[in-house]
Amino acid sequence: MTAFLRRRSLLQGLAGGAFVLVAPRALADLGSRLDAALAERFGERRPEQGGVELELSRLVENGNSVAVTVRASPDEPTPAALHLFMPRNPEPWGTSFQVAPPALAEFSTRIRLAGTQDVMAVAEWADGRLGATAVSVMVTLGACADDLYLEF
Amino acid sequence: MTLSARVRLPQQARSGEVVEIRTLVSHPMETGFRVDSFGRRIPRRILTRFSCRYAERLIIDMELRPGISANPYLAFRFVADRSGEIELRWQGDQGEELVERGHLEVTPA
Repeated sequence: MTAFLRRRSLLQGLAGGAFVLVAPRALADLGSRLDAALAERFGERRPEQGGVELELSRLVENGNSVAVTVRASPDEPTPAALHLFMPRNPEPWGTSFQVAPPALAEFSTRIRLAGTQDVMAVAEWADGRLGATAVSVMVTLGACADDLYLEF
Repeated sequence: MTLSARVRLPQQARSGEVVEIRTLVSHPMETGFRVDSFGRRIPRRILTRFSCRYAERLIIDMELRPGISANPYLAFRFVADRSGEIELRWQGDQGEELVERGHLEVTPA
């Protein structure tokens, strides 16, 4: 009985606490976090829509390991690099993949997601042009929940 | 720490064929954002760079950040256009390095 009560109050405490800590930040400045990450990589340049394909699940249970595939659109010339951004992660810049022929502009890897967010893939061509595609991913359990308490 | 990798390299291909390389390295990819049970920050330790050379050409050069999962998996493809050595290289922020080599024999299409 006491064990049951203790567990219940603990769960309620956790749920309440998590909401208070996470909610304000999650809604606030995701856009500016992404913008800062893009500025760090690309300076003044900002991507236009399209030119790159991003494959990943819309709903993932565990943010510690999320399979993702990035490739340049088939109708585009081969880009010089592909980049991945996860705006809600403690560090939004995920990876940069520089590619040269005869390699194809395509890679698959696994990423961490600290929570529900719009993952963005950016293709960068040699002439400086940028193209981007974003996919909304709902994450049930974020990668290392500690992150949220440190960063959010 | 010694790194170890499981790698699937193509050994033979016809000229013009698209071949795939798949790799999996054992590495914690510690983000530097986590804390231990005493509240102390666990220092960052990640692989920072992966590259692939094929027949004397650098075809892939990838920067890895903490957003890449532990035990990084990577798959990519390229067009087999000539016989040559394939060299995969991972580098970590502690100075660790792992190199895997293979040979791809390309026959005329």
